Amino acid sequence: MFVLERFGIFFSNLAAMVFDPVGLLLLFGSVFLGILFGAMPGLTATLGVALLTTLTYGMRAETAMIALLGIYVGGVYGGSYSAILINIPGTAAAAATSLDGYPLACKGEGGRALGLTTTASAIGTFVGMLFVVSISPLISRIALQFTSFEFFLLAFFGIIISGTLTSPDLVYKGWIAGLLGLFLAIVGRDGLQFYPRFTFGMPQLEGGLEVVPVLIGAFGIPQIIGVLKDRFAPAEAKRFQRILPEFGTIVRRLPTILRSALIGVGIGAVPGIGEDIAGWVSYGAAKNASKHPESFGTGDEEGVIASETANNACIGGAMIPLLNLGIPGSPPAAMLLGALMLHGVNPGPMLRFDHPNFILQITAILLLASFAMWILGMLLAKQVVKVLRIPPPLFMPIIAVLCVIGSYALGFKIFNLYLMIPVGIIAYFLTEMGYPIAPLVIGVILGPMADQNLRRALMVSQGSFMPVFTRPVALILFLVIVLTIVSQFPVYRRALAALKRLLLRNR
Amino acid sequence: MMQGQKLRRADFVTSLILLGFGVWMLLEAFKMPMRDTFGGVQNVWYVSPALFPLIVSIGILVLATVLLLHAIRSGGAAALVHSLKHLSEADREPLIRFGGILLGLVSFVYLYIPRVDFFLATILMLFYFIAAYYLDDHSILKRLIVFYCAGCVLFIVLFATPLAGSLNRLFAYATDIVALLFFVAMVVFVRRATRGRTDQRARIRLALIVTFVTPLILIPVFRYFLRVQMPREGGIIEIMHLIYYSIR
Repeated sequence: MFVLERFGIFFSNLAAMVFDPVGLLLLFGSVFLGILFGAMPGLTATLGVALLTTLTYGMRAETAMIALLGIYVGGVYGGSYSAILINIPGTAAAAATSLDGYPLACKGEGGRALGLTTTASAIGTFVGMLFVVSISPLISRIALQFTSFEFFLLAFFGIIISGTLTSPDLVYKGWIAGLLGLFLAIVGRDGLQFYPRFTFGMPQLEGGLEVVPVLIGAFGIPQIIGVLKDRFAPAEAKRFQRILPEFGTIVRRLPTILRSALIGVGIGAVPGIGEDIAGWVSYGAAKNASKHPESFGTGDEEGVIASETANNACIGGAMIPLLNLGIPGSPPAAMLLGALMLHGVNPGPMLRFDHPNFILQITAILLLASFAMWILGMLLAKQVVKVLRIPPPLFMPIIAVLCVIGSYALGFKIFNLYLMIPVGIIAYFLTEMGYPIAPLVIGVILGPMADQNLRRALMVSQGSFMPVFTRPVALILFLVIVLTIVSQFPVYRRALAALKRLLLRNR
Repeated sequence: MMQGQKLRRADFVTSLILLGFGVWMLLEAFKMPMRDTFGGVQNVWYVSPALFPLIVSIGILVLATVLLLHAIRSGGAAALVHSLKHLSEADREPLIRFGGILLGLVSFVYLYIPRVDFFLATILMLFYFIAAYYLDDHSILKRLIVFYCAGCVLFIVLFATPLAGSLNRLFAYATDIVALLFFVAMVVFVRRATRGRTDQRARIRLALIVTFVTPLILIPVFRYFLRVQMPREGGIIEIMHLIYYSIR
């Protein structure tokens, strides 16, 4: 009965959206904008979501989510255009796609490759949506049992795991980035006693740092500096005829698609790691499972399908912790969280009581966005390719203006701009030195949650940490955090190797 | 991202900065109420506002120490000494390009936006960036940076002294006119710098189109559609108001 009721609400939401011409227009427009953003090297889905957030201040939360999810889905998919046609991934999520997509385009099969990625991306988004609708009630029911200790450990786990998995250099650089994010979250009056921390007597800092300008600074400014600093010559895009929706190939590759979708959803659900990792892991899994792994990298359609299915399925996966726990599953989801908070929606276990139909509305939007993406991909591919000819030094200054006006529009505060620029410059240097930005951003977002829940938990337990060991979920989270940290040290690896040797000898 | 020894050198410097930052944060945290009363509330250590900053600062200190040791072991300190000795041999072009970007962003946000009409501030920034980086000529970039820097100094002098106030009392939009003159001077400067180069003429034309079209679309969208008041509404935005309210 409960399932039927949920499906009933889901379909009524879907029907309401389909018959709302303004909503549909907004969805198609934002998906198209997302495809353009994803296709243009230097612009990312995260930046697209960040900039569009600034245009949604005056909208209702549900309408804003149509626009933001549309640009998110379109942005992740759009990266495949430049990856396939000019061998430069438009977004990091499409990096694995270029390995086989570009060789396919060189063979004159660019249209076919785009057709496969379009269909695979749509299926990936659809599978992700199925997981959001089916797993969300379960997770939010479990999360209702959480106390302050679990929320503190969950926030800490999100930062640690994101730092561990996204760091391109040393793992502890990811953790440092997370701690720097936590520092930024501390600035302002603390949530329990209203004591001013690191405010330097500035009244503008008393309320804490605004999340949106910090996120726009952290994601936008490094992108602008990086693209303008490094000379970028636009490459000639490979020509293609029409995009063929190859259903036969898709049916043949169904096992790969399902495996990749599951990988995408699973990776998306892990806090803070995004579509790029999903694409790579899925590509690697497809190569390992293939009977002809040697053909990967030479234009194998399976590689393209694996990467694109996973990166779009990751969107649904990232929505699961975001909506049910208030923890973003990927960098664009972090931006979505900021947008939701701006619109007065606080994701977490209480979401299903505060806004009972919200999760079902999100799933309906995801379903429609995947359709919109497929239709636009099939119809407008040739027009989208034209944007690859625009030189980045021409559009990056426009992005700078959008970043500035978007940050300012939140509360009409010039101080937001004064904040955005230093955050952006620091984020640029950190990126250059191999520090990932995702944990920093997650630290900024989850900082207040970690701080307040730790102190609240200790208040209840009169300063005792024992509940961490007596509550099962808290204990599991604690052990995972400890294991994640300890496993990065050589001592642990040596001990593990010694243990293995000992076990083999005894056998 | 940096690679090899350059990265380890940067790690060495960063770890030292992080150590300093961690110590500062720790000292600041110790100044927060730990056991004393704040706002009528008797504190205990576990409710203290200092608890979380202490944890974060200790975390930063530990990780910065690990990073420092790794950087020293992998030759980061030695690489820093070597690079300081050979400072004059370093490739200056990326540094100049980076400096030019910083100049454009910082002057836009901290100098022009709070004081000059937003339309003018935007066209100044857009034309500077597009001319400097889209024309893709290092000598033009260098000369334009110097020119733009000189303009910024002029504006700093104008705003730091009572000069801007006096000018604005004479005529309400005097500083906007100065900004407009600076923009015209920059366009003339770029045209003169590319004289005789037909390949650059089309690019300058495109740069000017983008420079004007962008704020002409963005400002009305934000101002009249989203009702966002611009940071500073001077002469040009006043003209926009006149047009908008007369056709509305």
